[in-house]
Amino acid sequence: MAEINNNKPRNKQSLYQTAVGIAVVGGLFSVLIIAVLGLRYFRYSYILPMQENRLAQIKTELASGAEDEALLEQFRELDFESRKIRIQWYDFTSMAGYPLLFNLAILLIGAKLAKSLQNDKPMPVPGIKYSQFYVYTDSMSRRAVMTAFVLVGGMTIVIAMLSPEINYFAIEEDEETDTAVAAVPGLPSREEIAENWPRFRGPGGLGVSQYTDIPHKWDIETGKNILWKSPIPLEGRNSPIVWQDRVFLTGATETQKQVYCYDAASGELLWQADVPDKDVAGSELDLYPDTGYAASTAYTDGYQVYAFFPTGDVAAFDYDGNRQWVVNLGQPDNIYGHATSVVGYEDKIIIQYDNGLHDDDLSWLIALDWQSGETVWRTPRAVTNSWTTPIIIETQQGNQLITVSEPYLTAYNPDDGLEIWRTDRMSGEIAPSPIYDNGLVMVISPYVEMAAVEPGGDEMIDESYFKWTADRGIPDIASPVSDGQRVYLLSTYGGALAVHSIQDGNLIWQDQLGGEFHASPSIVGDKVYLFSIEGVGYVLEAADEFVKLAENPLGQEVHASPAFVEGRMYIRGEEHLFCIGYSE
Amino acid sequence: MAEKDSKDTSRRSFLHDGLWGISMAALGSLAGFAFSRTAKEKTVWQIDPYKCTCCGKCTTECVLALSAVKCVHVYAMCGYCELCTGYFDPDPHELDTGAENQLCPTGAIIRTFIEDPYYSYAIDEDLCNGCGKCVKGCNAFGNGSLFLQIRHNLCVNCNKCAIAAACPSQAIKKVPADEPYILKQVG
Repeated sequence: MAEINNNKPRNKQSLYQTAVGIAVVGGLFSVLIIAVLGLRYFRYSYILPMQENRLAQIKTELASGAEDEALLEQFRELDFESRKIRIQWYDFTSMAGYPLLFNLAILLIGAKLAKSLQNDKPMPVPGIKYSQFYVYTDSMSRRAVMTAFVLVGGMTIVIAMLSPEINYFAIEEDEETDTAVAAVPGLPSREEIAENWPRFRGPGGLGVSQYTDIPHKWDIETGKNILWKSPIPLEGRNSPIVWQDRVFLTGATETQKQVYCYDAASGELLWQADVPDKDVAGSELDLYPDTGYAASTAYTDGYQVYAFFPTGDVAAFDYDGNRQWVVNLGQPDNIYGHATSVVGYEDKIIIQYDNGLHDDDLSWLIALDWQSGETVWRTPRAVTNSWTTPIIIETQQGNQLITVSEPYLTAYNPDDGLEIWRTDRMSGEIAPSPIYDNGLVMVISPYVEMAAVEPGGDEMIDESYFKWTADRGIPDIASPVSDGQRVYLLSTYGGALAVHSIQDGNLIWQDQLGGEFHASPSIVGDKVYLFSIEGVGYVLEAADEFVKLAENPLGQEVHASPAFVEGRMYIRGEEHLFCIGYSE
Repeated sequence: MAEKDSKDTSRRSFLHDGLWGISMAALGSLAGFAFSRTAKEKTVWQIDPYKCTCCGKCTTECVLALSAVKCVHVYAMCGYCELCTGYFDPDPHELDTGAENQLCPTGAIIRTFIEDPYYSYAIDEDLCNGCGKCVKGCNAFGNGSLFLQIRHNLCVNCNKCAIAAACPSQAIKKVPADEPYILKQVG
């Protein structure tokens, strides 16, 4: 009986074994590199983010004053480990690509060589049905081709992953992060708030920019430092607010209320959304023209934007312009129309809703749940209608929400709305909002005085809490601003500017810019920015004397305070939203 | 044969060939000069530090695993502060080099004592991932001496820079290759 002759010459057999050995070595090294890569990728993609979260938690605990050596040690070990993971990933991806390619090439060459050495023509064997034999070999060939495709596809992906030049994971990771954030939103951190301009007069409501890289000269004629300007569909005197790449505004007429979202980089109007009348028709209101139907600045927490209108309607929209909820705070009764801006505190949206006279029982401080709009707490206030916006300050006794209306300056606990302390020193129709600096709350009774009050005590505080008062150049609309040494007061008419020492309230200097002013002054580094109704942006030195650095006409009226973020300033003109930044 | 050689090297043919060669060389030079004038200027990508908002996308969007964007430091602008807001966390536990006090997630800033109360700050580019956290800190409360730049020894100069496409403030632009950096100026 004849047999298939698979016997090879001795030297051929030896070559065959060598080829198999080469293929095995190449394969083993390839598997080893891929395994290490997989392990490193797992540590970089899954372990590292967890470690970074834990590091952030420990940092928060340490920042809160925890003196725990074990915690400190844990932080350092974890930090070292996370840095190691990151560096190992960077190093391995940059080094492993070429060795893997080399070993895969060795594997393929060895396998091909072994196959060719094995490929002897078989002799016919009696008794074998060759038809079945060929069906079997055809089937095996198809499977082999499919397997080869799968292997080549897999290897392509692995090589792409391993390439020292290309990081294909970056975008995927980002998208995953974004989705996760959107699905499970949390509260913005103090750092996030500080980086943005989420409310009227920015973080803390103090009118102070933490960024200094803002141009102090621009030219509407030549376009110098005007990055873009975009039309605003409906009028309004509210200020822009900014969160990362979005700028929000509101606008309204007697019959229509809208919220706008602009692309911060290009000025493109990304969306505009209508706010329906919840209970009270806007047309029923008789508003003062200088206030208008959209004087209140919106608030954003990085997930939603919250807008308030003189009709008493409060609306929340997500960042795609989808309305989340609308509530009405009750019948408004405000002689000029509401202008107070929305304030956020943790998971609450707070509105100082002052109506009627102090004995009408119509004024409330209201906190709404940010997700549902439901009332969290509602505190009655025996005050006259006002146009101020509260600030939230950190004191040794805890956080305090400071409100100003005639006749009370009142501090509340923002968690539950309970009153902490008050004084009845306030008088007049109050529009300037309070500020807080050097441990002092500074408040304005229009045309009468500025008072610096230490936030402390309980119930009705006495004169001992008043650090100083000043009575020169007291404004009626614009809020004050402090550069840490001086407090700047800007009067509506004539642009009279009075600068007082924050230490004792003494007048340092006063001068006149001319024109009329509604927008509040702002501090940017060592400069003061002021915008007149006529649309002129004045930039002064924040100094012990009057030094005008620039005078920049914008070409249209300005009533709102600007917003400052890194490298940019957003100004609401009568018809356009302007973005100022270094154009070259 | 001798007659033929004499003919090939005649004065007339020498002048003819010489003038022809000079004309061709001049024409070639002229064409080369014209081509060099019309050739597109070589450019590279760079970050304008005055437009950059340190959004963090330079870290995640660069096609390189470890971004080609690095923090650079203009020492002439630096205040050499003990409390450097580019180096320290906004709420540092202590003013020392403990990891818990550092702002940089990769520990890429080297803090060196000079004399009381001054410290110098240097960037270890092998560790820097271009996140810009230090730049933000420095801009917020410091002199702005730290800023981000694309390092051209690392950048692969993609035809369409992935970071430029993602930059929210359009701070990345093409600059002439012979002036590849946009540096902050003192004063």
